[in-house]
Amino acid sequence: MKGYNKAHVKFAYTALLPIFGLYLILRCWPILESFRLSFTNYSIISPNFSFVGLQNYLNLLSNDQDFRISLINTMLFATLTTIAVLLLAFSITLAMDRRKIKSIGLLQSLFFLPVVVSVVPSAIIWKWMYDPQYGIFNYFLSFFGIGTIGWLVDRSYSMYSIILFVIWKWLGYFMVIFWVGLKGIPGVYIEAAKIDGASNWKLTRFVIFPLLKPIIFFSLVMATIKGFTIFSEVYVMTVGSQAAPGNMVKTLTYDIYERAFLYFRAGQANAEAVILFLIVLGLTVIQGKLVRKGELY
Amino acid sequence: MAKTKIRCNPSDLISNILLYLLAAAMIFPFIWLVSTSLKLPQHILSWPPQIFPKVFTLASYQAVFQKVDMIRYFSNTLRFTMVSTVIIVSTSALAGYVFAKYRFPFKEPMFLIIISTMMIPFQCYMVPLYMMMVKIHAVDTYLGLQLPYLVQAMGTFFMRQNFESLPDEYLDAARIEGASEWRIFFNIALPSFRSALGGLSIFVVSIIWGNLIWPLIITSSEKNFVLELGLVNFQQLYTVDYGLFTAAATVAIIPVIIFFIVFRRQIMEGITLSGIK
Amino acid sequence: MKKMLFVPIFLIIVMVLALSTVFAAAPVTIKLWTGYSERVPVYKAAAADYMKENQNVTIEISPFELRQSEQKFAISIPAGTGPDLFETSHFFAHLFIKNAMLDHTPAKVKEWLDKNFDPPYLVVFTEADKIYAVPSVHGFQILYYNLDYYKEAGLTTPPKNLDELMAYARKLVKYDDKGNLIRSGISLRISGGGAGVAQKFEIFLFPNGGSVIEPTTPGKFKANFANEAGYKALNFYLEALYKYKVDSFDIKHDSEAFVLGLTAQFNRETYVIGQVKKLAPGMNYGIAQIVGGDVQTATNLNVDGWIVPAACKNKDVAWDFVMYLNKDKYLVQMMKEVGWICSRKDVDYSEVYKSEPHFQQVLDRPEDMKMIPAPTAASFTETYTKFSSRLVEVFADASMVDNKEKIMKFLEDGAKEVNDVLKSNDEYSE
Repeated sequence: MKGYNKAHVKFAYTALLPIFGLYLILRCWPILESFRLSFTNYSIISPNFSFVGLQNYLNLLSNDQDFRISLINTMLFATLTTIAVLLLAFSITLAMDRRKIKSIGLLQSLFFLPVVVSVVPSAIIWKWMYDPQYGIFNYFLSFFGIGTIGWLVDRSYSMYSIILFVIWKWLGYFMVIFWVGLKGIPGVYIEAAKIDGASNWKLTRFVIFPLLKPIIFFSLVMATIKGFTIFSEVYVMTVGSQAAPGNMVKTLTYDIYERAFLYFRAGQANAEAVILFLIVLGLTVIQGKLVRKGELY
Repeated sequence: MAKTKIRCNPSDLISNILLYLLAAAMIFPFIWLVSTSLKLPQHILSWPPQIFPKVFTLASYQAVFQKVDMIRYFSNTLRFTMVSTVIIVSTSALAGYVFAKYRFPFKEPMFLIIISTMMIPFQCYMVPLYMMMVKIHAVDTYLGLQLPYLVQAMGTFFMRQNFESLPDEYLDAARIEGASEWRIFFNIALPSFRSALGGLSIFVVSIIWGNLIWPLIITSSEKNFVLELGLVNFQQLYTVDYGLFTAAATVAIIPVIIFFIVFRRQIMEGITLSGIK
Repeated sequence: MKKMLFVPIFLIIVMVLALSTVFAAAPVTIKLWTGYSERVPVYKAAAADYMKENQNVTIEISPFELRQSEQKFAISIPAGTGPDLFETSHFFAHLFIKNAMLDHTPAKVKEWLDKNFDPPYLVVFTEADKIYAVPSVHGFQILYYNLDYYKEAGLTTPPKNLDELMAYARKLVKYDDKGNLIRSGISLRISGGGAGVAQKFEIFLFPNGGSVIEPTTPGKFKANFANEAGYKALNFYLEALYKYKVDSFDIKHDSEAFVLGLTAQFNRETYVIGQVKKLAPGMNYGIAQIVGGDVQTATNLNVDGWIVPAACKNKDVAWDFVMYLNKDKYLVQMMKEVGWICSRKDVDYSEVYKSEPHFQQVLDRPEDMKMIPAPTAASFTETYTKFSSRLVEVFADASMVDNKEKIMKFLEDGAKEVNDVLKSNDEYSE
């Protein structure tokens, strides 16, 4: 089917172009502008700056300790969080769909609550729970005779404490995605398979999983993007005097923020953002190839 | 609704128990948040910590409303959230549908461009975006706040993935009967994906309601502040007064929780396509 | 589907709302931003009085979290959408002074400044003989100590040098029977992001003549901690954490800990006096000047001030208002109700001393005590922040205690990094 259906194309463009135009203006143009600035020594505070070519990129990639640390932290963080959240979300959603769960609506609401609540209040309460003296976590530990732990301040724990917080925050999001995807599978397919005598496992493996591929791809991409571009969750957990030590939990986006708004080296920050973008884009393309076996769309 | 279960499936029972335990763990932080906000100062720091305060007080909440103009922040946030949700869900649904169900030139590059905009954190391009707002004199105005939130790449991507499972046969059948493309969109596509639309709505609501960075940059008059901004100021001001800022945090999150509870059915319930015409 | 019909209706309602929020502006509007929300009640009080006396002026005050206020200011100034007045620290202000983005004080304001402020508070805002701000409050660190804990340990007077400080901490520290630290002998800043760790560390460098960076020639600086002062300061921290165990990562820190009785001593700015009064009014505590050493007795000095962007349209009114803010009654209110000390001289604070004598003790500094202002280098934030990250890592390394070789290597690497940053901003010289 090589040719395009003229009427369809007309509809597609009529509907899509205004929206695409908004993307161009509200997203693409600022992003391209930032890209342009990554080749300068733009500082935000001064209107004077000049072209420096690839200097920013070279500096970052060759001997910038902060960049290296942030990159490692981010990769570790994104990998752990993605795997944990996706596995948990998928299994829980499947279980909810399969088993007879009492008051399933209520149950779903409870899981989703952390998602709808904004980051600052969530961080407030988690910091309080992690408090070495008055926090609930240490209270539970005291039952097992374990002493006080500085969940956020102690380097051995800080990264994991934040990962736990983030998993808690994002679990419901991916559960809804999987749930909605499951609900979108036309019932006829499932009923047909059941009539053919498929067991639960066969049903999952050969009917649901393939039909969920678009949703799985979406979740994988979103989890990767969220994992690599996380900012506010980490930021609010690292401000203040009882907060996590800087380098242990510094992510790329935090490093970018620091460069742009604390050191006022915005050109360099933008270069770092471009590198981050390329990493995420690369991962997305790879994931696309894995899940869709060659097709990207 | 009478349950005619004759036997209690053991794996069902285990699943129920595990899930509810997990769910309890998920919402425990909120219970703790609200309970701290209702405690008297001397009880907040008691050891061992009590989950349900024996003595309640609403003093923290009174103080919150006295010290900041919560009503103002709340209405600003409400307006921003409602408008963003309606517009973003609309643009995402339409764009997602077109990407999913139509073939046209430049489709792949256009989609890739939209998806790519998600891969860059907002703060990386917010300064040029701000300069745009400066040029159109939209700084510290509602327009400036709202403009960037008319589209959301995540939403378009999400709706596209969902619409993909809409069988082409349904569309063709409608076309044969003489329906226009727009009618198909409104009468067939959208209603079949109510739960996806619902899911997207709640995502957008939660993102916009808690949005901090853009309101921080674009608004400067206190009268234009959103809740999250007010909350950050509040936290800086009253660092050790846990009762006070847990109360403020609770006030900030209650509306979204209520929204979710009210619309939960729409969001979570799905319509399977069997038998839909 | 019905939802779709609501879209245009919503849009119409929204546009009407948006247009209706355009206010009719008073002839002069002064927008004031500050990153110090706790001071806002005083400013609002002053603004209300000023507006009564000047009916055509409207003053709008916007509080922000500190970092966010700086971020906002930095973005808006080049765009010309900044405030008319911004309260900020002297080193942040210098970034904008250097880039010619600020208005300098007109002649009559300068005259008033010279009469009403001691030179140290003006020097930090001066460039090429022009003054670019009206100082508001200033902060310097003092030592807070819990009198009840002192009594318990048999201590009567505050420590006079680092050795005594440590000896006291060892007497004051307390563990429970399970071996958990329940009261630190001294609360050190060993964690957290930003420049705070290095700034607090610097207090321990001063007694032996060190600092994080020090001015060399005008406008140039170099690192000043890869030396004996650096060794003594770093070893102090390491000994506190690992040798004498008077502080640890597993306990609360800083003013929060002090107010909750979880630490016996700590260094901080004077505003904690205000905090303690609000949060722990019955607390029995003393204050002392920062301990000195062989080379000097010194504390740091951060001066906050009001700056006016060059693009401001109502400069005269702006400067007029900040002079008004320095009226006695507001300065007294600032000390009494908020806890910050203002910089104007010859103000009668006796009414505050009556209810809070700590303030008087704070201002009672020995003649030879130095106040070292935070350096006005453009590299300030970056050098201190980077050094803070290095410090936080080394504080976690128990093997460094008393290990002079390793410590000096660490300090030299840190100094190199700091000097490299200075060089990249053309601010380095020997």
